[in-house]
Amino acid sequence: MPVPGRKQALTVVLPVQAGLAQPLAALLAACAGSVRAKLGAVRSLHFARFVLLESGGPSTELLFETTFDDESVAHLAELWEHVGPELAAIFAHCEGWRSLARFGDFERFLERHGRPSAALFTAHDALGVEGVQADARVRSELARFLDAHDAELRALSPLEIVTSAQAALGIEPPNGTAPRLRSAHEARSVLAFGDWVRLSLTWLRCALHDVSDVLGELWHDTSARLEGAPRVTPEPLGAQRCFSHVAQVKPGRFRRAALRFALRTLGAVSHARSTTGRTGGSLHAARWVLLEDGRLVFLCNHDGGFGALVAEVVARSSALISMVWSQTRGFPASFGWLAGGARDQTRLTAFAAAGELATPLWYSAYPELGSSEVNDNAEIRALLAGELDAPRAKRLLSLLRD
Amino acid sequence: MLELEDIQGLVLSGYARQPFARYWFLDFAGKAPQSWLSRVLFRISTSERRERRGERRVNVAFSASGLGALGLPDSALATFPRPFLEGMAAPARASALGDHGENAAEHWDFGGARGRLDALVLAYATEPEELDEESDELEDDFDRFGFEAHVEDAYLPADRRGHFGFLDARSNPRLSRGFVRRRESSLERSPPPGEFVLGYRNADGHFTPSPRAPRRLSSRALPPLTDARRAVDLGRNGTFVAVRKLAQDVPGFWRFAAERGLELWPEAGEHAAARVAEHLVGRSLDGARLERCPFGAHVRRANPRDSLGADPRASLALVRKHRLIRRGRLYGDKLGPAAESDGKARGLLFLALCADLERQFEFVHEAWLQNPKFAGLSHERDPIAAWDPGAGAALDTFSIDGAPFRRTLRLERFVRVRGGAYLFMPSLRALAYLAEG
Repeated sequence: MPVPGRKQALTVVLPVQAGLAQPLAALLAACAGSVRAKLGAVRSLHFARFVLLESGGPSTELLFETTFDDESVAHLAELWEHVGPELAAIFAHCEGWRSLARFGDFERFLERHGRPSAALFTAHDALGVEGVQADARVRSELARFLDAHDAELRALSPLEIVTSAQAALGIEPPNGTAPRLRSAHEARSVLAFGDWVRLSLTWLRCALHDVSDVLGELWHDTSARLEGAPRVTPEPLGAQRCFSHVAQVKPGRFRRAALRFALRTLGAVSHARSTTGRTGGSLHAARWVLLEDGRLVFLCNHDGGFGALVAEVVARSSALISMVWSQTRGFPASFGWLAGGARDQTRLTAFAAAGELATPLWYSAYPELGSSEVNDNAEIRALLAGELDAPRAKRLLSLLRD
Repeated sequence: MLELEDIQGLVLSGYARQPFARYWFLDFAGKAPQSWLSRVLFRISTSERRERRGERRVNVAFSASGLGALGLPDSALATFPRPFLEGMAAPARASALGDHGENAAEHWDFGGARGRLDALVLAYATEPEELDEESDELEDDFDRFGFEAHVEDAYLPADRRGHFGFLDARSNPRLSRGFVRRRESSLERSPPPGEFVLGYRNADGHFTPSPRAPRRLSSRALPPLTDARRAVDLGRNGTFVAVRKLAQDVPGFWRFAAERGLELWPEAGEHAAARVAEHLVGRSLDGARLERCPFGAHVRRANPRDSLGADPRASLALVRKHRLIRRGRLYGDKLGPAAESDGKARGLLFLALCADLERQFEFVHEAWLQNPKFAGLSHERDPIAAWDPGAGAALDTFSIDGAPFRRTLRLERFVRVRGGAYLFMPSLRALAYLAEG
């Protein structure tokens, strides 16, 4: 059930018709620029991507995902209105697509192939696309104002400077609320007592399974590295990048159950962190999608490089990430989510690179913005549009570091 | 404890007592170099204390192609990390390092499109005559075996100042040899030896994956077997080397600093230029910390210490996993700040040693030096080391934190990449293994 004011995720997995995988890949590469331009008109759309999933057999699937504001029906209607013909040309390579004349057919087609997302995290959850873009424009205008009047402004106090900027720029207050900081107590209480009990029991059982995995590895060379294939790095857009990954869940009902529970737990934590407002990291959005055949897909948007993303995971979320990915093949050996696993940055990097998927077409509504920058811009605009005093004026100027 | 007798000397020492250096970037020209390596083995300096009193030091490192020429099978080469195998000039590496435009590999004197780079031989000496004598002997062997060489001379200046005039602050991490001083907190002490030498635990508490090679019988001391006893641990006591030749435009740098200084701080008079330079670098000319170091200053980006994010301890813990051992030396004559351009090449031959090229060397470039979002900035890159974004890119500026608000100056670029390579510096036992072909 979508939560008002929170970002939503759409994930669709479509089987590609036999023999059309290569033409589809070529089409996605060729039309990337034009599709991105059309997606820019979809006002509810933060991020989107197309990924080709190879199942290891002869079949290929097309994964299409979006992260958006508002209700899903309104979002789909926007997609149909602005990008309908382009999506039709892409989906025509997929099984079950017929030339659809009505929005209702389009909506039903996507719903039929929709997949639920797990553990959705968004770094600036309360901010819509238009708000993010407007905040960025305000920051630019403020920076230009300061540079243009540097000599005369430098003799003034912070409050006088910001008051001058307010008068000159005429900034309107933002819609909605600026990012709100949750208290530590609120953040810790996202899991109920029953969740903690289930978490403990799952941890214990996972630890026992991890022991058997480790014992199995002792018969093999423990210094073996994951010899990953060359990275299929998607083209960065401005300051942002996307990362798409697939891993195979280990066999057995326990692993599936543990994974589902891990994703639910991570989802609760992600929700808490999303609504904290400021995470200080490079992640814009991230989530998992568990497919019926046991493939676990991970999708994220971030700024900075791949190495920075992995370092951030290790520093901030190693236990949570281990909880999920230790249920999949090829993940660095871990014990009880707290040892090894995502704490071993070198092997985590190799695991991530080995499972990385080519992303021939992806989109961001604000490709030049960093995750922390989006929140800084929102605060700048809120301060500039609100009532001022000396501390708030000083705070505003301190946020404008360049 | 570190096996000092097995680790090449450059890992533990910058050879400050041997200020004169010469580097040979070798192309084996299709010849089998095993015999040459057997001859040069006895010259290789180790990290043992008694060796440090010597007048000359020699070390050697190999590229992926060089290891292949030494007879390492493809299955063994495949156990080396991907950045090393692809090479610094590969597109994926260039993207991480910002080697675009003027810094692209097509402009390089070595390591790029101009010829093949198989090995790097480094010689150090206390006096120029000693260096020449050592060079003659080494070059005789290069000629005898038919190698081609690109030669670079380098030195440590007597005043310890680089070409831009800044005192070398010598903030290299010190290898603890496995001992831990109890008085140091876990975050303040130097990173563990495994961050720089393979075969020891790294800052994550794990062993960085180490390259392997087929088992072999020999009368020589060879690298130890891996845990599964199926192969030798070729990487143990070895390290990876990133070498970069960085050309510096000294007159241009000081002209720029003087012009901007007069704009920003006219009241500072003749000291205004130094003030601009110090803010760009993030240190005073004498190596002291600045009272208010700009967020994007070079030193702060290269080693952020406790300044990343709101939690200093978390920042220290993160930075500790991305340290490098730096062994830079100057090339070209020094030129004073007021001197006109003389048309001669000068700059820094920079060597970085680490156990994991991607997590350490490339991370520093991609996540810190080249990152326009570093430390809350929105569009600025490192003012000294980052690439020139070119005419069509976003504004190339540098902001100086100040009251009541930041000052911004339009940047020019004074450092160009003119060579680069990724190399592996094997242990002495690994060299013996490789010499047997």
